[in-house]
Amino acid sequence: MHSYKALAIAASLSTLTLAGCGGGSSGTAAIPPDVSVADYVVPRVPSCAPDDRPETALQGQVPAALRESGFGGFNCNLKLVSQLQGEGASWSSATYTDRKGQTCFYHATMGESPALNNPAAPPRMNPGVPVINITNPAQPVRVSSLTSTAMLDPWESLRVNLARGLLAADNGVGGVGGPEIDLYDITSDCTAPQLLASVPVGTGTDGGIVPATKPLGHEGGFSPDGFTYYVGGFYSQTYYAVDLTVPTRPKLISAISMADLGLGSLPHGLSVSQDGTRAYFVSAGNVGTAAGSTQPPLDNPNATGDNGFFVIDTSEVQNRRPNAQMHRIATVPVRNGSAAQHTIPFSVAGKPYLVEVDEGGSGGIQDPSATGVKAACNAGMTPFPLAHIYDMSSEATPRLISELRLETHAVENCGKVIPDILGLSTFTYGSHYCSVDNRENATALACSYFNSGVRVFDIRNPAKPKEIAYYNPASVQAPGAGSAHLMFGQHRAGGPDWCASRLDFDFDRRLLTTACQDNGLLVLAFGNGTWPFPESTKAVEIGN
Amino acid sequence: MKRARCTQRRSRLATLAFLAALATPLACAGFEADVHFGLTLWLARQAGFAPGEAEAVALANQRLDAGSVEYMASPLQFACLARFAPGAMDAQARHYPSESRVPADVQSRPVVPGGVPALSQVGAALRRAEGGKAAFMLGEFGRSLHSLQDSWAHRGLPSVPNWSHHGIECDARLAMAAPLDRGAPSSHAANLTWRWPADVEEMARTTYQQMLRYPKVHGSPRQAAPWEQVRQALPAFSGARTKSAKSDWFVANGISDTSFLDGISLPDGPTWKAVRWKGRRDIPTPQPPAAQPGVEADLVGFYTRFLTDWLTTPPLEKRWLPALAATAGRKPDAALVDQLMGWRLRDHGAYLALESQPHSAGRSPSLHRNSAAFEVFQSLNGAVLPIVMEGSKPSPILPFLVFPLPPASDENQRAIALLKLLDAPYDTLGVIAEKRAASSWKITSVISSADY
Repeated sequence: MHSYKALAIAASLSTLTLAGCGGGSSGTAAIPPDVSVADYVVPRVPSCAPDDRPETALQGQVPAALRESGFGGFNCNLKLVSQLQGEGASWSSATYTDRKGQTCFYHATMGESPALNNPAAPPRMNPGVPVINITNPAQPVRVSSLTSTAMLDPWESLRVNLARGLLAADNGVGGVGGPEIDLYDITSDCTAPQLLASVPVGTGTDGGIVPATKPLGHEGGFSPDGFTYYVGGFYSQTYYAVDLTVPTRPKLISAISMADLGLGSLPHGLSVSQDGTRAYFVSAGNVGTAAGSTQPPLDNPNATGDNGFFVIDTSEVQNRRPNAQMHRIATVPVRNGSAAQHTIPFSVAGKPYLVEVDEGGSGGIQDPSATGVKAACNAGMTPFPLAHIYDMSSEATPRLISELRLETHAVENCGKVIPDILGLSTFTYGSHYCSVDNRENATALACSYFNSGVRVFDIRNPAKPKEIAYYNPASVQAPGAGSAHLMFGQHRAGGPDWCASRLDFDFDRRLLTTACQDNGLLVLAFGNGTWPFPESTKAVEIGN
Repeated sequence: MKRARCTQRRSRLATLAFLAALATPLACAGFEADVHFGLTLWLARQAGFAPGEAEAVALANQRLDAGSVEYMASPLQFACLARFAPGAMDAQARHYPSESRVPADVQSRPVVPGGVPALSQVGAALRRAEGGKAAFMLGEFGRSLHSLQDSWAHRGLPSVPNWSHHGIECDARLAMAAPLDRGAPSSHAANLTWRWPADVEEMARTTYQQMLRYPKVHGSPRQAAPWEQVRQALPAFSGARTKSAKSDWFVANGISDTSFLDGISLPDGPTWKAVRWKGRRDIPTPQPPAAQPGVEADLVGFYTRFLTDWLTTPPLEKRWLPALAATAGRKPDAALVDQLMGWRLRDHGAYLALESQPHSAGRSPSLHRNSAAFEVFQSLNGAVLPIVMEGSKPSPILPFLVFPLPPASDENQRAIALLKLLDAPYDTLGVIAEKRAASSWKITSVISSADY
């Protein structure tokens, strides 16, 4: 184990050497073949359709002037098919097609939380997770809303599992969460999910283990077979494995704390390998001691910080060994970012990769005066969060091969983008979630960038991702109280939305579905020839 | 020409099974998917539920029963081999509702049809469906109906299965099987609708009453048929003694897809065409048998080889004979061979019907000699419904489970493998093996328990 750690740190340091090289990129489509990871700016979309509304400034940028006059939206090779604003969305969403061929979309909304109460917000009429029938993508219909405990505010934990037709969430209310997990059967009729369980786990009533720290929901995700749901307990500082063999009786069967994992930072999102024997947990770090982790390591190129991800052996959980334990195989620090959000393992041409996405920049979570952004810029590091792609040929020593850096992220553009975001806090030009089109044969990666909208990349060469499409929705005048953007007090009249949800590729219909927080559900269609690629194939399971 | 002969053979087999069923007053059959899915679906439609809502109620009701890894419970496990009280408590709540909870003597656990314990579960589900939650609580309501319906099938004092002559001792305070006055515990006679028409009508009436109490879904009123109109259709349902007859009833009453009858314990009947039911959850791929912790590798290997041979090769070839213990004449016991052939029949209802006849007349040579009567599976996993260990520890999903048994009188090692066959989802099969001195493991007997 010690040797694994040493190898991992060595690999990370070599990465950091690259990351510290500084910029020189022009931020345009012409990328020299030998450009370093830290200098690589994803090439812009080569061309848009005639009736698209291409970006007018930097890639990903909504300039201050546009925010002032009222942002009307940008798009290129992604067209809006339909939208259902509803009462707004928060952090996670999922799409599922049932046995009858009906397609449904579910997204989280903000629950009632004293800490996140915006007096200016309109009252909630339909709290919980809306069930939206998008069988006809042009006419989405909200059928009902799920209001069981965890569904009132799933935060970042809302997921579906295709193998078993389950919809799940943990109780992430206000981000602080509770111990409940909710499960619904959506196999037969996704428009009418049927509650299987809404129960606390890990508290001694579920028949499973009682961990040292009671679970508190926030993030979560399935193993691909649908028999395990992992909870990322941000505030309980522990990852949990919940057995779903009997979906009416979920029970906690294993837990591992961040202290066990060797870092004092916070758990967050996760993913699980195809065979269920590996989990990729993140360490949400580099956000400062006030938030429970180290200060961003901007001033010390040798410091790794505590942001990154872990490669975890979950064989004992997957195989349901008695007293199953999870074991760390590798720790992979990600210095060029903070507040790690989640991971996705995927394969390209049979070779394993993993994308890790942050929700904080190298200077930590943004404050209204952009102190952290400026500090990152001054240190020559990426000011906004982005996705990092690793070659996982050796799981003990993952190797960084690329980053999804837009022009807004390039250090040389700091002076151009900081005026746009002054007075705003937390996320602005950063990423949050990404999804691949097919984990077993990935060709495209779609990511939600808060202020920069939905962006899709060609990752057939994962070392040199290329942008192929984007859709940044127009500003919403009257967002609903389900929007975290509004409830965080970050909505500004005329300003861009927060796009923060997972995204789902629909291979058969050439669609991309997601939710932005003020705009709600967005069903987007790829322009002709944009996606799928000739190499693309239909996924048999959800993207992450 | 070949197809014509095959069809002829199938027809003879079906006729034989049908006649056997009619001639057998104690034929095993079931208050199974015909009631828990089919009748429930039909009643829900009569009660005014929209088709999708009715299906949600019926599906959740049916999935509590054997055949789904999620809810599988066998007294062989929870009362005998694993002795797991929470498993017994689940089984009691779902199938034997009683005021007195397990662990407790059976005398204190009478099941009263439509009694308070059964109705209270329905009442709780109805309460949880209030407050605008009716649309997504239909499944929970359906699950609560299961226990209510089974309170008629299992009315009276549960019996305690007795496998002591196989060296399997059970905890009577955990065990529960059908009351003795409703048929042999190992049979499915207690749930045979044609034997208990009055109970079926009362069960249906109470089910219907509870359906009428369900809150409006999305505020939409329901238009329910009068009970008297519903009641008039029931005698024909109860009286159907084959899958064919049941299927005819459902088709005549507006339910055209009757594949849910696949696997129930009624004989096929003359016109039944076997197809797998799509309503079952997708069957998970089990882990390799060796994933079961604490079991000797050579024993797991022996069972894997035997079960694979038994289930994936043409039964008439009997390639598995060498795995059977030989009698004094160095031939495997004929009764054991017949059993193993019988359990492989695609029409498990016909086998159960024949089994309940007197021994000499009970076995049909033609039934066992007809290759068309068997399905040859591609793999062991394809032939079984995977199961899990019942216990406080999590269990991998496995194609079969192995438990040690007390040694035989001559100190030979003994073991039992539990499995559920795809074609007999309402039974758990126990295949007992023994390792004699200087010999390898051999199959010595087969037992079964009727699950719920």
